[in-house]
Amino acid sequence: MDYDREFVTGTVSLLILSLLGERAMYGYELLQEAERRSASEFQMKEGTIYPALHQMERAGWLAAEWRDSESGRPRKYYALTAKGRRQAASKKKQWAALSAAVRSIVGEANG
Amino acid sequence: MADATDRLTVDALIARIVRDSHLASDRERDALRRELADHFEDAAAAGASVGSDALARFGDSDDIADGFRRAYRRGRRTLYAAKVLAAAVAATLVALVIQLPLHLDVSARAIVVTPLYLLAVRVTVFAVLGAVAAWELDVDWLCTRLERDPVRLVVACLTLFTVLSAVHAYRGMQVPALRAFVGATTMVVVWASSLAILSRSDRVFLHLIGGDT
Repeated sequence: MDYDREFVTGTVSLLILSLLGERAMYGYELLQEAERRSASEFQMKEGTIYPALHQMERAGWLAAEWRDSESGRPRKYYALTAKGRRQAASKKKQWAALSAAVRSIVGEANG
Repeated sequence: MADATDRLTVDALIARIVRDSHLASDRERDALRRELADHFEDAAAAGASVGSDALARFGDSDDIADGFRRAYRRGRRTLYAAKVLAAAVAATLVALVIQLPLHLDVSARAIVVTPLYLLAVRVTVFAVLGAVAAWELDVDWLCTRLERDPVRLVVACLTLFTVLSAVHAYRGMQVPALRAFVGATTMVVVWASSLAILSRSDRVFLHLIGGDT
């Protein structure tokens, strides 16, 4: 499904922080994991994840290191820092409250 | 032949993004080039189609380069310093306001601030700067959002109360237990409010550098 850009804005960082909260991943792995978990419902322009990862790394939310992937090829792995974990918790809480509020309005409107 | 053409197209795309991202150092440019090349290598290994489909999935190179430019733009360090300073000032002001009601003497004809407020100001500024340092240095155990963890909140209040009482006893000060407890609780509130402000300032900072995509 194609989503309005305004819906996606702001959720990419939440998705990245949530997925990296489970384990360190590299960019393509993150995209694959997001697509797999959403049964291919969530598809973003793949290249946009990289500026987001670099911005979060520079903000101190992520730490990056080059190491061998499962295939044996070196990849740039991103992992949450302590600050990133706190931001993930904060964003998840906000998302839960916001989505519940929107659902209550949209759900009622749909009858 | 098609593979070679696709490879050239992908290489050109990567070169364009790296060039237009305006990264400052060769090391950063090389790392980005390598990371983007890995992406297409992984996509090909996963059986995804290459060529125009891969480029369409990857997105607009101008948008991507723009994202990198914002992440690495000059002045980011100044912005970061401004963020830390603004957060420290805001947290200090909020902390001083929190402390104020505890140090007002309303028994006199006019409402006056008690002499102890000066001491409270010093301790409060010290605490706020400690919170800022802990936050920016990523000292995780000091940065728990206590207001979201009732057990730790109570433990923190009781611990600080114990410390304050011990300090008062050591210095021979007669401070009622209730007042010491209120003082300890207030310091915990100051700490929690400082962390909340720092967390918000981080989000604003990331938004300013274009990270909240």
